Amino acid sequence: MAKMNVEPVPVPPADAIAALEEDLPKVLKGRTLEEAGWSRLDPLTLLVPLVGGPPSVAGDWYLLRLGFGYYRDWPPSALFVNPETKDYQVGRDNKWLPKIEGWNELHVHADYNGTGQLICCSNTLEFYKVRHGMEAKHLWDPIRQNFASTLRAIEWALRSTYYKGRQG
Amino acid sequence: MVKDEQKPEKEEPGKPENGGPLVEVEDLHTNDDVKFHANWTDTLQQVWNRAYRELGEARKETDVFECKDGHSLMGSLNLTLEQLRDQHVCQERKFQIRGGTGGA
Repeated sequence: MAKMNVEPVPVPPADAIAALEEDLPKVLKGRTLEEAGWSRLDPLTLLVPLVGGPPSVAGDWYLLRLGFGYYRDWPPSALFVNPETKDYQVGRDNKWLPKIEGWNELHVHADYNGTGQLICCSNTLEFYKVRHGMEAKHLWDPIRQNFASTLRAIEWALRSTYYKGRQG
Repeated sequence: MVKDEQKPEKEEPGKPENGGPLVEVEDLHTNDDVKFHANWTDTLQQVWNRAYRELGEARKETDVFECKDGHSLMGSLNLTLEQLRDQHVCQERKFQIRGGTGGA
C-alpha cells in the first residue's frame, strides 16, 4: 500500500501481472491492445501512444511507457520514451518529452535532480521514488484507482491549454 | 473546453425520470462509466452524487466534476440539467469525474 515518504517496494511479479491482467480490460473498455494502438513490451510493460495539443488539431505524438513492477500497491512507472529505442536517455531524447507549463498537478522534468525523467504527478511511481513532497489527499489509492488514473491525468494535461509543445 | 456548438433537439423538461435526459458519467480513476436517466430539474450536484452511487464508489477529496471535454463544472454544480441545456453547456450530457493529483 502506498505511503508518503517511504521507498516503494516491488510486488511479487506474479501479483503485479495478475493486477495488470485484471485491470487491462477495464481500462481498454472492450478494445484489444491492437485496437487501442497499444503494445505490450513484456508482461509488465505497456507502450501507449498519446497525443499532445487541442483535440481539434492533429497534435504531437508521444510514446508513454508504463511499468507495472510495483502495481497495484503503487502506481505504474510512467516515462515518455523515444519511439525507436523505447527508452529515454537524458540529453538525447528531450524532443520526445512534452512541455506542460503552469499546471500545478503535473509537470514533466527532463532530468529531475540528476535522477532522470520525472512525470511529476502523484499517479506515477517515480513521484514516490524521488520522495516528492505531497499532501495526503493525493496519495495513490490502490482500491479506488487503477492505471487509468495515471493515463487519464497525463492525457488530460496533454490536451489542456497547459500543453506547450515539445521540450526539445 | 468550450461550450458545445451543436444544439440538440429541445427535449421536454418535467417528464418522468424514465423518460428524462440520459446522462453518462465516466470515472477517470478507473475508466468505469455509468449511464442513467435523470430529471431535467436535477442539479449537476445531484447528478454527480448519483453517479457515485451507480458506480459504487465514494468521493475522493480531490475529485472534480467535468464535462467530457475537460471543461470544469465545479462552478456550475447548482445548475439544473435544463439550465445547462439552455446555456448550451455540455449539451451531450457526457460528464467525467477526475481526481486531482499532486505534482509540478
